[in-house]
Amino acid sequence: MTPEANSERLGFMAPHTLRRLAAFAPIALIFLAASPASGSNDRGTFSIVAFDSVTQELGVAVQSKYFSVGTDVPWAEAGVGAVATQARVDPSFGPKALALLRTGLSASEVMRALAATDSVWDSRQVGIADARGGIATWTGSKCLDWHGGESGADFACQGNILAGPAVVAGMAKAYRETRGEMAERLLAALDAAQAAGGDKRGMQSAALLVVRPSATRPQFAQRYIDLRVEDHKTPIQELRRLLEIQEGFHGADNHFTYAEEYEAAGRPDMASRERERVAEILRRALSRSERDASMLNGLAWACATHDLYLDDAVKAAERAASIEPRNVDILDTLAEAYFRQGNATKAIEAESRAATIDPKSQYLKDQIERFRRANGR
Amino acid sequence: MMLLLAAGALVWAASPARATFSIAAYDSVTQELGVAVQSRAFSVGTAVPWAEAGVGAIATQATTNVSFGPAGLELLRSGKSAPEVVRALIDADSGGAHRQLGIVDARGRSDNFTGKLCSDWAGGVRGPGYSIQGNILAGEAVVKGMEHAFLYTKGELAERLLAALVAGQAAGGDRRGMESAAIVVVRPSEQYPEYRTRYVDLRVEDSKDPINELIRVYRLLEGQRLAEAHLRFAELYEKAGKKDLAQMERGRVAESLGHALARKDADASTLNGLAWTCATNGVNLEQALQAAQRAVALEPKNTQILDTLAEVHYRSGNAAKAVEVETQALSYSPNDAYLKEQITRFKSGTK
Repeated sequence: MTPEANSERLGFMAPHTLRRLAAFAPIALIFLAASPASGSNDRGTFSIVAFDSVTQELGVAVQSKYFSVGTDVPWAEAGVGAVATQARVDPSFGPKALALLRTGLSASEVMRALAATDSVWDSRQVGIADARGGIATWTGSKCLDWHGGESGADFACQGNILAGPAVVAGMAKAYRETRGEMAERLLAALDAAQAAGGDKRGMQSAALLVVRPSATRPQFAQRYIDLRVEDHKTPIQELRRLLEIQEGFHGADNHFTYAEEYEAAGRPDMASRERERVAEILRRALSRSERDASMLNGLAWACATHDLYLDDAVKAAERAASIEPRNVDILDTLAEAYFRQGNATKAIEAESRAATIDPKSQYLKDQIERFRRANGR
Repeated sequence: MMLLLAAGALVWAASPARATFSIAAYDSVTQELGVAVQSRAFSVGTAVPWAEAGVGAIATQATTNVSFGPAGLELLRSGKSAPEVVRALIDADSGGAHRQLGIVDARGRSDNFTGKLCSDWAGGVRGPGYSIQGNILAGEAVVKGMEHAFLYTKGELAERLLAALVAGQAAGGDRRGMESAAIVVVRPSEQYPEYRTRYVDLRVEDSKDPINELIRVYRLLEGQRLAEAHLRFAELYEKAGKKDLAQMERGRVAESLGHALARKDADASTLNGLAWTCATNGVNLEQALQAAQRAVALEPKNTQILDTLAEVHYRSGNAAKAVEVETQALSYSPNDAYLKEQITRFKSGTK
């Protein structure tokens, strides 16, 4: 048995030993040659790559008993593709596959191209989604058990050193059946995989990467949702916590941006779909016993300033203010939400509380003046 | 009037947490480019730092125009210098007065910009190969402290960037407190194209103590993938006939080992990783032995770590000790074929 196979049983030590083989190929080859029947040096991992033809989002979600899996496994670019490279991981498959996809090759053609130039393809596991709906998944026969993959119409799940086939099947089912935006569906797939036993060796890191074309925000082509958990006892739960914060901080604003882009492009149906996503985020946030005041604040502010979902925005702001009653930013959001709702009196009352806390702020004075003028009319 | 106020409010309240300090820098010897950043904002690593090997490193912050990242890299790719790109981006942006931007290009030219409406204290310093900037800071001492730490810290770029963050925080840092941090370092490599966008790429998205958490995960990286990367570069430099640079790369592993040994709380995984890396490459064997022994002391029944210690003994010419340690490992895992093979190998004296 190789030292790498040895490491697998010991779980937490696998990270560096896996890399032993990659780094010191000559040494590793000696071991492999001496014990051909031995296991490979896979790192246990499960991942999903997906394409959403409606939003044009491409995404990857991954969990591993390996440090900082987000550095090596997930790669994606809007309009190009999404790639997960794992098992005996060669991270260069990420940039290489994206470069090939950029030339117009499909997911399966890229998979064949990677296979053709690799000497240890039997030990690799790769999932690819291209930006035209093409899907490919590969699991080499020398990946450690349980290993395998399942592809659907617009996604592929794959994993190795798993508790069993139910892990991958559970991921696929969860992705198919979960409604809502891609990030939610990807995370639901990770949750389902973990619930089905996940990685045999346990958990250490996770990552979620979604990219999306945008006419006004070019950064979304590389980072639309891009969250990492590098080293954690329950990385998927932590990733969910981060996504919930992300939704409040950036999600609402992002959806409003896309709503405007779709309106400008003459697609009012898609625009209302984007706004509906914000309503979902709000509902989810309000249904949780949310303790993150700044997340609620961001969400309430985005809705208030877009004059949308004002009742829920007020609820979110009220809850934020009850968590942090002396936070001037939050009181200002609450005031703004009341004002937009048509309740200038409550707006003045909340903003006056803020002004008591920060008496020097000209902005708060201007806000109160603005609310008063409207009230007096 | 109301529209105007609403717009003002958006700037002020929708992005209240963009208080941030960052450094973008270049290492002319290794050609590394990197950015390190700390902020009161959630997940600062998604927005602020952008880097590509052979192109440049960008930090975009304050009321952040994130598109400065990809757009700036595109302009740098077209051959423009860091100062030209800073000017081009700011000139084309109606919100320029709220922005803060620092850029270093792949020739070490640097520039930064702080819009006059960035909240106090806001400003930056720069020099050849680096640009440091921050807003809503305790004062100018923050960026000055970062500069001093960057210039006087020895070692690899990531270490110097992290030292700058620590110094920034020590000088009062961000006056709204901390939430997230990130470090990205990129490095040209034909053999390992992934290093062009992710050589060091670590995030702390939401934490009470983000800089220390970033350093904690960096130490994990150092003991595992970075040590391996240095030996990869050492090999490439040897092949290219650059013995001094190969030596420097191996020296980096020795530095990592030194750092790990100097830390009382170094974890078993890092110590073990470094010891194994050094042993199997036949470098820094004395320190590797110390590291392996410390790892064993932390986890005395971990057969993986015992195997590393045995390997270090063996590579150091002490086959008897190697057999003894590996036999002990075997006693914890009697059916382990690999451990048996190792013992046979140590006894026969083959590599």
